Amino acid sequence: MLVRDGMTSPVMTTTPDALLAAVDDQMAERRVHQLPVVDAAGKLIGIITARDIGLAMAAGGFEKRTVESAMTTEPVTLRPSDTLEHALTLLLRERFGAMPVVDEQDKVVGIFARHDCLKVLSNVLGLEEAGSRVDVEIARPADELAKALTTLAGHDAQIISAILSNRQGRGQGARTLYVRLRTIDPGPIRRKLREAGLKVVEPGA
Amino acid sequence: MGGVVVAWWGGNNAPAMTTALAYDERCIEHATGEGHPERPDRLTAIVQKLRATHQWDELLHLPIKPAALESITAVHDPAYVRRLQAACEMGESYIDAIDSAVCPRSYAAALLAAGAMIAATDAVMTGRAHNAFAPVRPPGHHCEFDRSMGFCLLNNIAIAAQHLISRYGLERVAIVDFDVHHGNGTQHLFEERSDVFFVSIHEHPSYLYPGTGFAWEKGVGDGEGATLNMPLPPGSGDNEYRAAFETKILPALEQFSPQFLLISAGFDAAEHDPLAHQKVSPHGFAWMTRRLKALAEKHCGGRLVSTLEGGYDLRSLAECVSVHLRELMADEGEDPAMAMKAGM
Ligand SMILES: [Zn+2]
Repeated sequence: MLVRDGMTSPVMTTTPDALLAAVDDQMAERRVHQLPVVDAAGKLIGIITARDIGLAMAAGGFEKRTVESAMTTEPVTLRPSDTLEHALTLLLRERFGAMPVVDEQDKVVGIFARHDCLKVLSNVLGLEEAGSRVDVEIARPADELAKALTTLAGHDAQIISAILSNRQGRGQGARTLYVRLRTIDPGPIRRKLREAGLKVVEPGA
Repeated sequence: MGGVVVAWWGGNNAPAMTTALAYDERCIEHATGEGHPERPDRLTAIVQKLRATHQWDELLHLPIKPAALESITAVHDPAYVRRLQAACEMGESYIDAIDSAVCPRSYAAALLAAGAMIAATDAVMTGRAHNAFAPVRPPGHHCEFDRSMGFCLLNNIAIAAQHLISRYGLERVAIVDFDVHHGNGTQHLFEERSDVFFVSIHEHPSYLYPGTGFAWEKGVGDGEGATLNMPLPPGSGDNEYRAAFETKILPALEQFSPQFLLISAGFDAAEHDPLAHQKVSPHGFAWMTRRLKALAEKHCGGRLVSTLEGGYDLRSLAECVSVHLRELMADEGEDPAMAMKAGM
């Protein structure tokens, strides 16, 4: 998946001559914590965050101050074609709240915030769609994974998402396959998985 | 049954405890196909059980008419209702999701299921019955404003709640949904309103369909506080249900003080149900019913109508429906378990 699949677009922007007080109100109203700052041509020249505004308030003379005097220039940016892995790693490493997304001409086309990461996660897990969950314990991935996927492939239309847990931190190469199914009755698929010799987790058992 | 009818028909008051059954055998004609858990046998098993226990003869059997279109479109998108009718008439095998199977007779069955709830609420409001149970299918509580979900074609209980408000001018109707799945449709239809208090107790949405019904879903706007969700972890049984009722559900209902109590009675939280992972025993369902009935007696003169939602293990289903009805039919203060023993 790419940044263009997860970013928020279009995005509200501000200009360097805008008053901080007005931008503060706008941000509160839209419930965002940062705005890209663009010039008359729409090119990115900085980013202004709630933290920048807070510091400016504390420094005094706030009413007259403009965005230009408090913004961060040359912010780290993303391209729509960057991978989500790239964006996520940067957000984590730099502890950014968000990064502007720009095209080849440096024009702002979107923003990728922590909140967008969560939306991506929710989408990958398939949480927005009504469904049931089935967990399959994969003790020997070499043959059980193939069995599980072959079984599931017969129910492609019913599968919202399927995620294989990270092996890290678990013993003996064991993994769990988390599947979300587009049905109130996962019984038939559970049964087929069991018939294939797989261990299907029984919640509450 | 006839003798009972004569005894109360001439007076102003219904006899102490007449429980009505709003059942129409045409609901059996809603055919869902081989292997489908929401199958015609569910109603057959219930009827057989009620005949075997002789409860069948003690119930006041209500005649059922298909619900009027205006009662249905009071909660559903008219375009959806037309789409449902067309899907059935055109011989489609399902509507909106593979779960929601239909056959040419499903539309008629859906109208009768909703109609049974209208008949049941009317019977209780006019005093012909003290309370009522409507064993219907297709079930209703997953059905949204404009979309079928999870076996449900029309939201029968929502149609009944709106009917009580529109027809009788009630201002506070409570719906308690103890089906093991979250009653998403019912919640969404009323979550912005304060006149319908919706309580759903269900297996946690991380495990079970449809994936909503988290505790933080408490209503929206004017309806804030009029939705109560009690998700329980998989493996929960009588003790967990009892605790949820005593600490949260009953106090909230006491505070709301309903004029009418509706129950979405799904019995798929029963121990052997194939669709879920809870362990509620028939005693557990009896206990919940008893407490809800007592609450209705205290706040709304006993006005209570319960309807069937899920429940897919036929033996558990029939047994649980029987004990549910036994509680509804019991005279106040009477212990139905003892009464049954005496009757045997
Ligand atoms: Zn259910």
